[in-house]
Amino acid sequence: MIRISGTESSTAINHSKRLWPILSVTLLIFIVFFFLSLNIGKIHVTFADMITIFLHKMNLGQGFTADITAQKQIVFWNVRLPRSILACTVGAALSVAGAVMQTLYRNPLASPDIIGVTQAANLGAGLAIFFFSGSTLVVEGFSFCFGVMALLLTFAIVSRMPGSSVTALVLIGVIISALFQAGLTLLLYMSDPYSDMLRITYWLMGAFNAANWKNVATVLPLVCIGIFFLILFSWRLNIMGQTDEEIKALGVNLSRWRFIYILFVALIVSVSTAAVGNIAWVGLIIPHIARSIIGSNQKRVVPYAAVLGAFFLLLIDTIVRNIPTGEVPISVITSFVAAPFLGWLIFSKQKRGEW
Amino acid sequence: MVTIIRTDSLEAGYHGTVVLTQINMHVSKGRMLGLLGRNGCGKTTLFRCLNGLLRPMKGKVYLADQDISNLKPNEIANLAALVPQGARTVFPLYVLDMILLGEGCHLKAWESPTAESEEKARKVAADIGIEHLLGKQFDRLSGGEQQLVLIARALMQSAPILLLDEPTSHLDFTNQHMVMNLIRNLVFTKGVTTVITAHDPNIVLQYCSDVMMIKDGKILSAGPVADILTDDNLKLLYGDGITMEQTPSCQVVVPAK
Repeated sequence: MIRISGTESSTAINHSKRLWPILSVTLLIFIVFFFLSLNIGKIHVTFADMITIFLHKMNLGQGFTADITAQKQIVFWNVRLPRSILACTVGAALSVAGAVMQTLYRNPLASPDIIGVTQAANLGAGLAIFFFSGSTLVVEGFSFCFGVMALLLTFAIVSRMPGSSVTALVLIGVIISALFQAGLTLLLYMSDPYSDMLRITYWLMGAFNAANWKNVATVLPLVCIGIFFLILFSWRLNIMGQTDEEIKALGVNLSRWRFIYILFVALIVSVSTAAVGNIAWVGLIIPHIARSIIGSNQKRVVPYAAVLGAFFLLLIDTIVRNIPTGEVPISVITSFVAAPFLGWLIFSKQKRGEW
Repeated sequence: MVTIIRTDSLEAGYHGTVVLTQINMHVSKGRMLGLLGRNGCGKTTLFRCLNGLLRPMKGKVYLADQDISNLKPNEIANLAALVPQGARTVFPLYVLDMILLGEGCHLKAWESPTAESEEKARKVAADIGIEHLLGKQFDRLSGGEQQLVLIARALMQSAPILLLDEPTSHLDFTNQHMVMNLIRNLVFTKGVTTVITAHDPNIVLQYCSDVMMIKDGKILSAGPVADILTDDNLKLLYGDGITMEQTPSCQVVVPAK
């Protein structure tokens, strides 16, 4: 390898080498925190308890010792563990989706909501609650189907357009979001204010308190598949961040690849929204934090955003479920944390002459 | 002489409006062709047809004897590399990463550049004298430096044809000539065929081997610079307000008094 002397050129080399230390440190902190978060809560579950319960569940242990109550077992195994896994999965999904959308739309304010998938998933959930006063599974199923429908609708329109500019894509996203949003408002207006309306509103706020192993079993594999492919194709995203003409001139089939990226984004966003409802800001803010730590090369941004997003949402969820006065909707906390942070980010970027 | 770019009665335009008609052009290997014409004459349209960014309404474009309508985007990118007027990315890459984007047309979707590609990128950067920029962020460079990075990115595609869209438009006087000298050297040393569009006929006069004048969507005249870039032809293209003068060292195109 050719080494070029001088401080200026060595930054690029250092920069690419910095990924692994940063990624492994973040992963380590994340894993430690993951176990710590299982530990804290209204009922204290020690690490020794966790290991015992885990071994027992795997049919490896000798049965419980006297101090592990059935309550502890349920809290750890049936409540906290699936909840934490789900929070991490959804956090990773929304952050990766945000990173990809910001690049594809060449817009730092883009987020997974921009393609209308979230709003459609909301309407689907609302309809399930309204017509079937649905069980969780029906709500999730409807929500997912509507999310995919919004995606197909977007592409049906885009593929009929002669040009496919980013502006047109954004506008179509706005139109589709508005349509589904209007449907949801109508539904809320028609629904019984003492039962369905409350349930729909509560669902819209987004929460992890209904998390169970069934959720994990549907969300985790689908999100993993989506993130796997988005990481696999992450270098090419650097090309997708250039102008349309450059993308084509660099040899990429623009419409095909835009479709492929959005397909995976829609998959992970719709399964996430279907399982836990709306979670604000994560998809917008985490990619920016990731970029400010490891630079703009998507090959690094996408995997790092996944780890950072998982960590962030787990952290917020741990705060949410430990608020002494009782749980508040998670979006309240993500907004309280993330909105000022974005403000600070814009301020600091402006100071350095960016944005 | 091997013809490397050829168009057959090309007709092109936008939204049903024809901008270019009856374009039959031949460019031989290793030549440097300058496209001249007034704003809106169709030179950008022609340029976009040459690397498949715009599908012609009629006629064909052949690069290295291959009809590009049958080629995939990456196959076209392997034949012709585009240097755009400028690049503005929202999330700016480091120069090394930016140059490596040119490697994309040689890679499968799931692949990313290897250490070998990186070495190649460093060599390309060294060839055009920008190795000291590799660790800088693209958006922090001056216009001239950015243009050089975009040229390096195009060279990474290792295509036999280089298309440069107004390569000097955002550059100061010194940088204009630095960039044009560099392009001419590439033509000599690497044997790449280049097509450039230019607003300033002096750029074409000083650096190109051939010129093609386009007026109202048709070829006005085309051929070696010495034969075609004459006072009469320039008046036909730009009107009477322009003339050629002989200075002690070279000819220049100036406004008529």
